[in-house]
Amino acid sequence: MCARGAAELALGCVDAASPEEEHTEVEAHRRLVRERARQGAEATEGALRGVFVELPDRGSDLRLGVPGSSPSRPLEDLSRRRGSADPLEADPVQQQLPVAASLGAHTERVELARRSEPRHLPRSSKRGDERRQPPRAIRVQHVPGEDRVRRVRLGLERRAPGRHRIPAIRPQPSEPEVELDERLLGIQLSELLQAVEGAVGPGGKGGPHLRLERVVLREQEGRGARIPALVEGGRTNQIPRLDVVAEAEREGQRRTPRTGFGIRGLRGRGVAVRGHDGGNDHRDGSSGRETDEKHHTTACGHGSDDSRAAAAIVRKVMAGYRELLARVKEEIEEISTIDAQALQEAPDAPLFIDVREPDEWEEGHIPGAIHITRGRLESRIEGLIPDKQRPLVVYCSVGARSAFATKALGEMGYDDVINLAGGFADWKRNGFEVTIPRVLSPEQRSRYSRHLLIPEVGEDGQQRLLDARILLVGAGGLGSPASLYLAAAGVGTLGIVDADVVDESNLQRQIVHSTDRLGEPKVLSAKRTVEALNPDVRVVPFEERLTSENIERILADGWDVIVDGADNFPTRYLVNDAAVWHGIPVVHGSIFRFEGQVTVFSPGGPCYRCLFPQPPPPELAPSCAEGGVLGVLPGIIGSLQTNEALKLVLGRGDSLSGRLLLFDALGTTLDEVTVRRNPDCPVCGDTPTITDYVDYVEFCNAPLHIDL
Amino acid sequence: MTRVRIPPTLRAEVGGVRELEANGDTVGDVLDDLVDRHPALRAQLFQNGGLASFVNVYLGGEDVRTLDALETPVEDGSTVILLPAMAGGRV
Repeated sequence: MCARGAAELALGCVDAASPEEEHTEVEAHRRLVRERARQGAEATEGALRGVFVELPDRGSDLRLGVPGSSPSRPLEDLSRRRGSADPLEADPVQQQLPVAASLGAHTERVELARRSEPRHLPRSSKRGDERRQPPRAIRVQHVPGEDRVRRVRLGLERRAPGRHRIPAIRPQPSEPEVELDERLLGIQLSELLQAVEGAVGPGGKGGPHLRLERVVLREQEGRGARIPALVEGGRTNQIPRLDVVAEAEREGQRRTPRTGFGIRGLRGRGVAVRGHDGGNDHRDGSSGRETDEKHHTTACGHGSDDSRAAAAIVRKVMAGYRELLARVKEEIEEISTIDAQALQEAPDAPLFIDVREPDEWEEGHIPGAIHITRGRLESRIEGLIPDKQRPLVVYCSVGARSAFATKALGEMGYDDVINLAGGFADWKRNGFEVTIPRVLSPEQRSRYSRHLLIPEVGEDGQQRLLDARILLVGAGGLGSPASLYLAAAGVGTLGIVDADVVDESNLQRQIVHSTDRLGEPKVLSAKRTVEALNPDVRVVPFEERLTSENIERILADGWDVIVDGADNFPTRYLVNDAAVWHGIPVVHGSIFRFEGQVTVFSPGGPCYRCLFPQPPPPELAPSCAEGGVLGVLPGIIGSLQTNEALKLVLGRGDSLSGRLLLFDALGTTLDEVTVRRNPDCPVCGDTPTITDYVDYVEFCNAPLHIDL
Repeated sequence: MTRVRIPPTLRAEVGGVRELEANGDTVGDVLDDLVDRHPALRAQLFQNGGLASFVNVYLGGEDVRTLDALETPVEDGSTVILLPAMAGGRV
């Protein structure tokens, strides 16, 4: 019946009476994505057709023999080889084997056996109903592919009760299939699982699905050496075997296999299996007749003389949503919203994980919770919460989605995961505190998308930036890149202090201004540029020179960070003292010719006076106006300052506090020296002697007593 | 032999070079050697007989004031960085 060159399937058998516990090692659920039309088309193109044999056993086994091209291996021959390979029940498989080998190019026959119920399980009261279900046979069909991969498709078919042979099979278009191709026999177990999952995943709401439970390979002694590890404790004369087990389950009978069909002794690279599922009619018609042990023997013996044989068992799984949920809830721990809320107050409070959709999150969430949608939970959780011992409470709206999420996290190794029973809805009903997050507009999501992609920034970080208030002292060389990059980053409020107007000599480096702004106050020029760059940014201009008289008024607006780009010592000492007293971090930058310095003076750390207790005497300190500066240097130093300012706002990374960065543009070198807090510092020291603003111009111009 | 990095604000005093070599067993000796050869540096580095408060001297990235100041021993081949405060920014 089989064209030469078509897949030839080895005759095999399955004994589904093996303890079900052996088939619980691997589970996979995936949605079925097969096109029905294609099934119909393929039904006519196979070169291999199946002969279905219903065995005169208990009626729960259906066997399918597919005569191969080799006449030397009829069913009768195989019956004599019973002793050399045995069915699953003799196979105390304890482990999964990660690697399968290529199992040979030729397969002679296939036999499928299906059982409705293992022998050792108590009979269900619904058994009578099952009996009335039309029995189904298994359809085998060779599927010629464009590539060299040979496939065989197996599908369940309904048939009239009592018939022992089904010469012609009509595929039911609605039935899913399992397909294994030859490559599956030579690839990693995980890949095999994925392939089967993809073919027989859950069918949706209450839909049928197959669960792949176990893949096992066994090796015959002395043969099949490419299979590296075989059944632990298994018999050495057994054939290599590929068992694909899926379990059928019925509502109300968890973990109880209901139906199954198996392929045993599939040999050859060209084996493909598709399991058809009969929709709601997953309960196979079982007649309760005794197993035909003789036929079993016949079938099972076949592969023993070929170490490249494989066997697969596929059992059908049926679990509707409710059943699945109920089962999952049995496997996880739950906590009431009242208890969870109390936990929140406890010292070792768990972290709440919200797995709802973004629109649900935006309407409110539990305070302190982090948001990962259910769909991205597995892929993102380890990045966000590397510590798998950390106590977690998972919630959704009512506790269903989070139940699945809780189970998934448990499977990923999170030790202390609890599902919030009742979910956010119950949390709100109890009147517990709810945080309503501010959300980015679609335009903002687009504008800041590159920030949102960075885990260290993300939506939360971007909101911080939008909320941030940064004061720029000076809108010149350093203030130019700082104001531009801070604005581009979405820092919501920028204060700019500068009394100057744009001069032609500024444009060599002060890129926030432009030629058409000559004569315009720098703060207004910067405001125009910055607000044109990003309408999210509000610029507060201070068109004045920072002095002891106005600094308190300017600082009264409240600033998170000061970016110091001043050009003179009095302003730098003034900014330093005010920042120490107000507890505002200062990002310091200064430049001269080819060299620049950057550091951060944070509250509690060293201040500018710790670094430089005194400015050089004016006669010894040439100003930049005299010395000149390379145009790009303020771009570099101002950008480094901006980097520090953004990190301070985001609360990420290590700031330059305690370190002074020295950049030399000529040699392109970067040096770092340590800055230590001086306990004797007159401003930030243990016993400060300067507690109010001084005359900074006088302080900086004070004659030094130089003793040469 | 110790290499001494000269900041841009002090290069006029040493003929414009970025780095000089000097000898000495301590930071003080090294700076003395430097000042002997470039007397214009003295006012930039010393004040009241000690290191000027407006200039920092770093050895191995540490301010020598946090070590033994001018008595800090200098190993052969090390680098000393002279660093006066710079104010420039807006110009």
